Amino acid sequence: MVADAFNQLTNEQRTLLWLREVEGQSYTELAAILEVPVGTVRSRLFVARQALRSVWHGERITKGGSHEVR
Amino acid sequence: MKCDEAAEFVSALCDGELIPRAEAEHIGTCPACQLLMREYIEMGAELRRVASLEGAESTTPRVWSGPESLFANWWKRGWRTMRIPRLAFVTLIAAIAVLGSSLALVKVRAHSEGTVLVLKVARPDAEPVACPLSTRDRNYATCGFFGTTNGKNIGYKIDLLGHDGSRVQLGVRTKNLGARTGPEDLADIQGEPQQEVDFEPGETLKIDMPGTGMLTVTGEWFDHMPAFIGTGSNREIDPQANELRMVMPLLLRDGTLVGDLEGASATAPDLAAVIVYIRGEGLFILSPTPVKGAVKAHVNLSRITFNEDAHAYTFLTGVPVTRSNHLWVLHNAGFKPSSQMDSKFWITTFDVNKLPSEWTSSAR
Repeated sequence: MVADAFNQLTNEQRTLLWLREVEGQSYTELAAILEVPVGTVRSRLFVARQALRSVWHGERITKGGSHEVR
Repeated sequence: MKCDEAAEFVSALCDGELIPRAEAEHIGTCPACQLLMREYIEMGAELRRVASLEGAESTTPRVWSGPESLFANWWKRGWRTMRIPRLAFVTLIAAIAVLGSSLALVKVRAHSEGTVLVLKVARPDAEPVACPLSTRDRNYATCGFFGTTNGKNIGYKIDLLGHDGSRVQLGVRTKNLGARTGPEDLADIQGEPQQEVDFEPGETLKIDMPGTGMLTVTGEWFDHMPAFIGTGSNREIDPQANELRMVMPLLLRDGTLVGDLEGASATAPDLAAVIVYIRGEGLFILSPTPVKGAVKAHVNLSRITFNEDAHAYTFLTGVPVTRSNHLWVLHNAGFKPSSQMDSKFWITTFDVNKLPSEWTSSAR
């Protein structure tokens, strides 16, 4: 589950991804919320996505290809 | 430019941010960066999916039923900020919506290549229909079709029997159903003789359907189960005129998830209706034209909302449903399918002027 991978991220990464992906906050809004420049929002989001991708891929490979889908 | 240098901007592009020209040009021509972007989109879609379902299943129905639901809110933000061309935004949202509503399919994604063979099966007088067959997941090792070709009602069923490298062995059954219409079941075809044929993507396979012509089959390997396996106009973002599309719908009642068609879809052309059956919820006839006893539903892109018997219903689908902003829904909560048809759910299309009486007779 992506939620499991998500929970392995740092608090800051989880918050940033949640605000962006779920709540749809713009970079400008995130910059205001976090009190950082827009460029920092961009780079932190990238790092957070990479972290989530890395954890998630690891989980999926471990579970193999015979997922229960129904 | 190297992919590592562009990666941060792949992430930004996912968010609809403007990015430098050099990075944009690289990403536009780099398969690896495009794959990365797709993965980011998929992760985001799954996060939204999890968040949305948790909200739907919790005791806070306002998450779904209110005007500021997660999806609606996201749409509005996108339209309002408009950092990327509107069409591109619609494309992106549609892709995300499709991915977001197809978690079950995405789960079979494989990390090696060539695990899903997507056949395109064309009847003599029709656009090809996609038929995805997974080599890893037996739940997706069969596909089938029912419809009309050359004026006759036919059905076919294709099983993936085995594979050796990129070459596969298919079991094909066909059946001329004569005058029979309406939803069918693949079990109807199971008793027909099976043709075993070898096929490899790149080839064109011809399969004779006695009395109705030839099926033309082509195909290609995917490294995953495509999130969206529609065909023809299904692939377009904008619905065609007089078209009604229900792509991988979810059904919410009073903000609670009560139906998930797990990737099943139907597209009704020419003002036909889409019929959705969900065990426990009954039959829903969604028609672009008025139907006796039906309630008028509001359509907002990929969301259909209507009220019935003090309940608020919402269908969420993978792509915009219709060009119209409304349609009619006849809900037959008391519908009892035949034992043969009593699957967890099914979806089909039907001529709205020829609806079987058992579909409409006990509707409220």
